[in-house]
Amino acid sequence: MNMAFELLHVIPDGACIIDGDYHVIFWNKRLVQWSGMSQESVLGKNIMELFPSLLRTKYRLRIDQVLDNGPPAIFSSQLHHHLLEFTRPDASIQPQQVTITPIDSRDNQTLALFTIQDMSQHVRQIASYKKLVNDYETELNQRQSLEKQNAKLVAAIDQAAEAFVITSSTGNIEYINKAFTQQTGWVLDDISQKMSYFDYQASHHSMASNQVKQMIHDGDTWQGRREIQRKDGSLFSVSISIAPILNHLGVVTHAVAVQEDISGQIKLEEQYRQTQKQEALSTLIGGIAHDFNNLLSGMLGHLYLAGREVKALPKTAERLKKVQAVANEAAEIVQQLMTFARKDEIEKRKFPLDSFLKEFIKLAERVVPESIQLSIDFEHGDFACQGDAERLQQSLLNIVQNAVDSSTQQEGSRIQLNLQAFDVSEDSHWLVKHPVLKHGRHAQITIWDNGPGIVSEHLERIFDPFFTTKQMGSGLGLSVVAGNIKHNHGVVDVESSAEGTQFHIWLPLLQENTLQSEDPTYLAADESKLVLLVDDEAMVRETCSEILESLGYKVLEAEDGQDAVLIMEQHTDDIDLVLMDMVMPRMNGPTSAKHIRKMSPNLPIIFATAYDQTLSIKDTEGFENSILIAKPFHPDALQDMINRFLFQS
Amino acid sequence: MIVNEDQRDILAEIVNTGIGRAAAALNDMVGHKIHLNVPVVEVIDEEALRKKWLEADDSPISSVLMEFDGSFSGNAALVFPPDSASVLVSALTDESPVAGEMDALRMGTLTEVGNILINGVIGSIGNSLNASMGFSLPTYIEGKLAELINHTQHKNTTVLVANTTFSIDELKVKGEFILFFELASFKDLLVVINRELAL
Repeated sequence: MNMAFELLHVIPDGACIIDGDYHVIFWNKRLVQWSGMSQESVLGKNIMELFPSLLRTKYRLRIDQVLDNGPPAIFSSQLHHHLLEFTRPDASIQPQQVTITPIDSRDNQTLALFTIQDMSQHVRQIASYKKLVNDYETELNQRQSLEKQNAKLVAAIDQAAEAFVITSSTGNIEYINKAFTQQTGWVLDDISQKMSYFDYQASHHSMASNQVKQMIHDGDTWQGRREIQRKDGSLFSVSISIAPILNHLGVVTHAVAVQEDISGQIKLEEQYRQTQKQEALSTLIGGIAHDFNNLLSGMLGHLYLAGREVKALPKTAERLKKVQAVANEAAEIVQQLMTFARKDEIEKRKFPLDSFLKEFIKLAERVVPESIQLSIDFEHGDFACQGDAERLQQSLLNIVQNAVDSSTQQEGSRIQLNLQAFDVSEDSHWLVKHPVLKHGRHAQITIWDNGPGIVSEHLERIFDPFFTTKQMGSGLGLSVVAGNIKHNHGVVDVESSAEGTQFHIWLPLLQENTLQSEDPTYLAADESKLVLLVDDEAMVRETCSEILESLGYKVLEAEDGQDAVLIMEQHTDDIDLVLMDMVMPRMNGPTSAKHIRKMSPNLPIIFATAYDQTLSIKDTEGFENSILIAKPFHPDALQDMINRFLFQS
Repeated sequence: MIVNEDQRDILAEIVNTGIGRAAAALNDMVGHKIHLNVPVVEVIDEEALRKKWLEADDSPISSVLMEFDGSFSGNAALVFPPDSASVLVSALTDESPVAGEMDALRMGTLTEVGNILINGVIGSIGNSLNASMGFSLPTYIEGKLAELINHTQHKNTTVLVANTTFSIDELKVKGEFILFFELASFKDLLVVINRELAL
């Protein structure tokens, strides 16, 4: 054996040599170890028979090329895995890189030297490296995904409409979002690490805050309302929800507070409570007024009749007149209460608000002393509106009187009255408070005084009936104002500070050029007519009957609607007018009126009610040639109304 | 040593034929068309070549180098930008492309590719010139193009360099065949070329 060949026994790679007939002429010890085949069993054998895969063209051609003294050939493990199939102890096939090099034999034959490198270690290392890279990439992807998710969460929290505050478990602020800065004016740089979130809450919460701290520390959540101090020192109301943040051991490490500004909501709630209170008061007062109206109807009727009967007794007549005057005053008070409770009738007329206010100023000058400067400022424009001008005048006078009362104590007092078209775009804060102003055009009347203002505790009560700060006040003035303005489909509100008070009244305006003059003609009485009087209250019916008779009318009385229908059947052609209560047992006014109208379609009907007229308007508006009036009514007014109907018919 | 235009043209044609055969072998391996450019043949001093390559491109390369001798001697190199080398190996082994340095298995694969292609080129040139050739084992080398000269056997000499770029557009792979012919064997080569011209 060639000595050079012997050296091949000590190299770490496998080595074998074949001759031009593919016979193995050398097989080193490494190959004996890897193949399990002894040199004796291999030498002289055809390598293609030992390893038949070498017969494949892609191998044989390149082996032949080497044996033809061509260039060496390399077979990489990635492209071929192995050339000579050796099974490893773990039953897997050994990966190899094989180099086949031409060498010359002593007899100038070209031999092929196979050098077989075991690539197992490389494959293992690379597989391990790939796994490592793969694990790292997976972790990196997960981390990037988490970072993206975190960035999204941070952006969501940072840009949320609600304020987010993250604190340590002891309450020290560690993070605030933009909404917190917008709400409070504080930025993170302003907040020292030592400053607790609870320090921002109004001082009167301090005891409760300690309990909240404890709850959060114990891992509980808390929800509630608090007042928070802004950077400028002012307070505002918030709804807060605080939840603990736990670590993987379940220990509270932080707390997250979500804080929503509910100032607007609280205002709305207060407004709603105020409305509810007013409605409750209206219902109560409406009921009382109804009973008083009926009692006063009887009382005034009898006083009227008694006055006529005692003409011969001047002193008694005088006393009765005084009693009548007192009863009338009582009726007026009831009327004012009804106004607040929206239970009286509105006389709607169209009138120009600017002209009306110019006239009103002349009246106001009478109640404003010379020491107070009264001025007006009108915007030019079309201010046609519809409503009860008399009640509007009464309301404005009430407000001016209040302004006078609050200003007389100081020098340089001023009262100013403004009229302008309400600008929806500029006065948005009023639109939030009074959404009705969004619809249609409105005039805005403002009465401003530079008095000391109304204390905030009183502001929300000034429209309540019987609320007064004056020693001699009735407490009905501003409640009547509120009732009147509501009746005119308007809105009234007030602003007050130490610099003065402003009452704002908004009234709906009509389309331009809609004013028409209305000149009602009141006619003389026709006293020879027959009136059917229908009322279930005996006292009211009897009194009213006597009044009608005293006015010269003939009267037929009915106890209720059904009775009225029976009487009508008997006197269809004789009855000239019906005066009828609305609410009666057995058959109410409108139902009875329907039956009556079947018998006499054009018969005038006057409906009278001691209840809320607005509730009855719908029931009576379908009747032509009819009117709805409120009790108690003055005999002269009743006579005017009856005569007008009888004249028309 | 002066190489005239005719000699240069025939040398370029012979190199082009050899590389064309190698490109056909590569085409069989990857299954995509190989675009070859016309070889550029120049006679240049080794130091000047090093300077030229340094100025032209300082990017890293992955290459397979084989030495040949016989009727003429020199070196043949298959050169890739590392990204192209990685993509080519991945395409041949159906693996996902791996960023970073080549591992031993991938080096082996690229070496086999270089072995097959360079065998094809030199074998074809040898056949064209009816010259018998001997070859060394292929070597895988990473570094700069200019450093490739350090691995050749012809330092401080004048060499004839035949350079052909190629690309596999579908894989976005580009590469280069570079053949260095030693001055000493140059005369013999020109004799052979002149013989060819005379035919």
